Amino acid sequence: MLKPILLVEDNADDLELALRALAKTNLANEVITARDGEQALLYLLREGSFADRPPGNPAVVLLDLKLPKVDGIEVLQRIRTHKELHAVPVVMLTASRMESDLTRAYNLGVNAYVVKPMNFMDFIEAVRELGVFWAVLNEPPPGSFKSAIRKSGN
Amino acid sequence: MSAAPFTFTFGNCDSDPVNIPEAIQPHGFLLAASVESGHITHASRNFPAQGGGASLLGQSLKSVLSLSPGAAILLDDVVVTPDLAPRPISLQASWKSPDKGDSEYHLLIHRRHGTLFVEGELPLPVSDRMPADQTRLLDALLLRMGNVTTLGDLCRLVTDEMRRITGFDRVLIYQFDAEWNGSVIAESRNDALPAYLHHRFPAADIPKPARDFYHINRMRLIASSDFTPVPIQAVSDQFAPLDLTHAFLRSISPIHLEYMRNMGTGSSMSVSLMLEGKLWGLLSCHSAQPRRVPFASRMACDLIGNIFSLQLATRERARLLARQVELRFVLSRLIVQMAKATDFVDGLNEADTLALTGAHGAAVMRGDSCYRFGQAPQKAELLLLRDWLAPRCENGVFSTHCLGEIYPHMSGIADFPGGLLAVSISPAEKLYVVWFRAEQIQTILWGGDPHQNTRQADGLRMNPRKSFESWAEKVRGHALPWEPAEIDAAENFRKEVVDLVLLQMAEKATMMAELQRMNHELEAFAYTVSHDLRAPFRHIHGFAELLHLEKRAQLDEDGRHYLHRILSAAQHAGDLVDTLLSFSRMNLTSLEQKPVDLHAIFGAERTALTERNKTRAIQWTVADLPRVTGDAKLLRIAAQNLLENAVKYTSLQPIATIEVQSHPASNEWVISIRDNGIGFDMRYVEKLFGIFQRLHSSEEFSGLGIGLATVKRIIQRHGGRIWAEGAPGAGAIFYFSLPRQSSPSPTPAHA
Repeated sequence: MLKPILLVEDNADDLELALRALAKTNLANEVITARDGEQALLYLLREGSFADRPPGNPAVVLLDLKLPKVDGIEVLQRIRTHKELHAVPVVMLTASRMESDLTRAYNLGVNAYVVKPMNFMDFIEAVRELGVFWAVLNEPPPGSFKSAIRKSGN
Repeated sequence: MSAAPFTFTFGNCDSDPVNIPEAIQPHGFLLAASVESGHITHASRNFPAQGGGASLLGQSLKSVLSLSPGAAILLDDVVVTPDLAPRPISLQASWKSPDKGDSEYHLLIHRRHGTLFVEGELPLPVSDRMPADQTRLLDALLLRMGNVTTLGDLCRLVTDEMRRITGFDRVLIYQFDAEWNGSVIAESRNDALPAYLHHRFPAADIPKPARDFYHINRMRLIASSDFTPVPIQAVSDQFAPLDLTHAFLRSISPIHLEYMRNMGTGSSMSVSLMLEGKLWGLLSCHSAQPRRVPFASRMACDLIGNIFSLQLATRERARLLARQVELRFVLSRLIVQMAKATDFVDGLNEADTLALTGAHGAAVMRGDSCYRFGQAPQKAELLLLRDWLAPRCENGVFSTHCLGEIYPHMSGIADFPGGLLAVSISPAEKLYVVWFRAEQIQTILWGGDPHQNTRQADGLRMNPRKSFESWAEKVRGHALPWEPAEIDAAENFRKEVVDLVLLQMAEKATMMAELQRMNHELEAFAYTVSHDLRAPFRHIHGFAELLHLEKRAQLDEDGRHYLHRILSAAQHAGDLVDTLLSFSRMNLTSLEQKPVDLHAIFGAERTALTERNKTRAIQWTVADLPRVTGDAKLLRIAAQNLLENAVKYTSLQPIATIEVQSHPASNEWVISIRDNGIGFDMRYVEKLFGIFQRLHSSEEFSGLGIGLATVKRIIQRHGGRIWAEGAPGAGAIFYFSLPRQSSPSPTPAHA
């Protein structure tokens, strides 16, 4: 059973573009969306409206930095300090390379980050690489193990 | 020796000091007694005493003079009064000499230290006596003295009246200056003696011992310039010679008498004129013939002298006050103008600046700049003067009226100012304000030589020209001294300007801080906006791309074309935003200050560019470039941009030549990058460095137009400058400078 991907994104356009990009990568995983940090945590902790969801952590959390209610950094922090969640892979999605919070994200142990690129085709490519890295693809496309994966701490 | 009519000769001509002549003039007698014992100690030889002077030993004044009870009481009064009386008083008694028939001597008495003096003066011939109504006339005079307006009027009144009272041929008022040179400022005369009005005399004519004497002895009289002095004898050996300071009959040095005779002066009298305890001048009377003045007239003259002195003090205070008020007005006007200006110097107008201290010239020196007003020396001389002045001006003010005597570089100064009044505003900034005053001679010469019309009838008359020359000799290079009010004005000016400068500096600092803050905000704003703009452009591109990916088959050719344009425009917008973002970010980070090897940086960029442009023929020359202090990361970006530009704009040349050179300069490094590319029109040189400004269309050369703006920013942040030269079709040279002792702006400030 494939674990779902948790996509946390508040902006409607960014959310749609992300979902369509994910669709284009033929990921078989279900994509769960959360529109703010609070919802993300509720899902992860199986609380609130998510209390009845099947147990199990997502395969990867695609986490936007700037979120209403509870922001991305705090969500990351909660994940990393939670006994059962701390090993969940988290990839930050950032609006630009210059976000000051990236340092904090590194210090909190984010696995990787993706700069939402201007070019949509590049975005599709980045998402595909993520999928390959976290081995959630249905069938890996040929030559997809690229060495130039963006990794945290670089 | 000069020819002043009242010169006292001192020094090796005289063996006795002036107050101990041991003789008297012959128109009276003198007795001296000890205050303690009342017994006579000295007598002039002409005192008729039986048995000679020795017979007076042990006798009292009262008995020898047969004083009436009234006179005896007066005498007792004087005995007990301390030495305050500056002159003898009348005993209101006369004494008949037994051997001179009915000669009645008018008796005067005074005390000096432990000695009592009685002078007996023979009465005057009737013709010389004062008119009976003299007292009334004196009252009228004193009233008039209180009512005159100017000092000049006062002097004229006093000299006229004095002559009327005393009958001397010539009465004049002689005024000393700060260095004891003097001039005759008022005169009343008949034709018996020559005129001395406006004549000037050097200080040596009335030397210090005489001046000191005149402080104590306020009135002196020489009844005849041709007399045989009458010796004074002590009645016994135990008594020292007398101090005749206050005795009217005091004898005069024969040298002086001869002098007077040579000058045609038969008699003289003078009264000291004091101002606040100091000798201000002399009221001098002369006659061609011998002359005695009755005691009452002398007292009237003494009174006139005193009143004059009091008037003088009042007028002087009023004058000083008026001058202070006048100068304060000038200062106020200057302050108003200076406060309005951004720089106080712009508020100075010539008229007021000079009027502030009664100067002929002025200058403001700040660093290496000079602003000159009126008759001031040239800039080079001023700066030299400034260097000499600096250590002497540490209290804030310096003044002299004989600059030539203390300043070693006078020969360089063209107009020979005698007076210098200087204030330091800010020694750190080398900011000084100085005023100049021309030497006195020039001032007088400007007013005309007063001695042009002097008649020189015969050789016996004194030669006023000599005195003038002698005086001129003494005052060469001297200006009129700065008045206390003028020095005050300069000090007040200094205080005001210091406050103003500090205020303006504070304002400037606030403005600078504000500017910097605003710039910082602007740049943060630019950063935020760019950052926020990214998302929408990204969305536009994303959905346009999806349209293209999923729906292009449903579009016709035009539709696909539009879509393509949307995609490319959105991409371009995104690139612009990203560029702006990184440009802003670069501005906001702090500048590192470390040694940077420019040669290594440019070398590395050259290598990278050669690698990226393998198909191009580029001739590189990278000369020896210096090590500078700065931020290596940013300087690398600058080098990248400059060399990339050179490579880009030489792309149309078969062989591109790019030269990087270093140029020596005193306090900065200058680097140039020259290429033989397409160049540019110098008319648009300013636009080269603007943000997003391009001089070529994007079809000719790609690029966003931010490269040079980036370089300019980086160089400016390091405290340097950047400029360019070029011509269309003839390549371009880009220069930038970096300061040697770099203290660049840590945060951006648009210069």
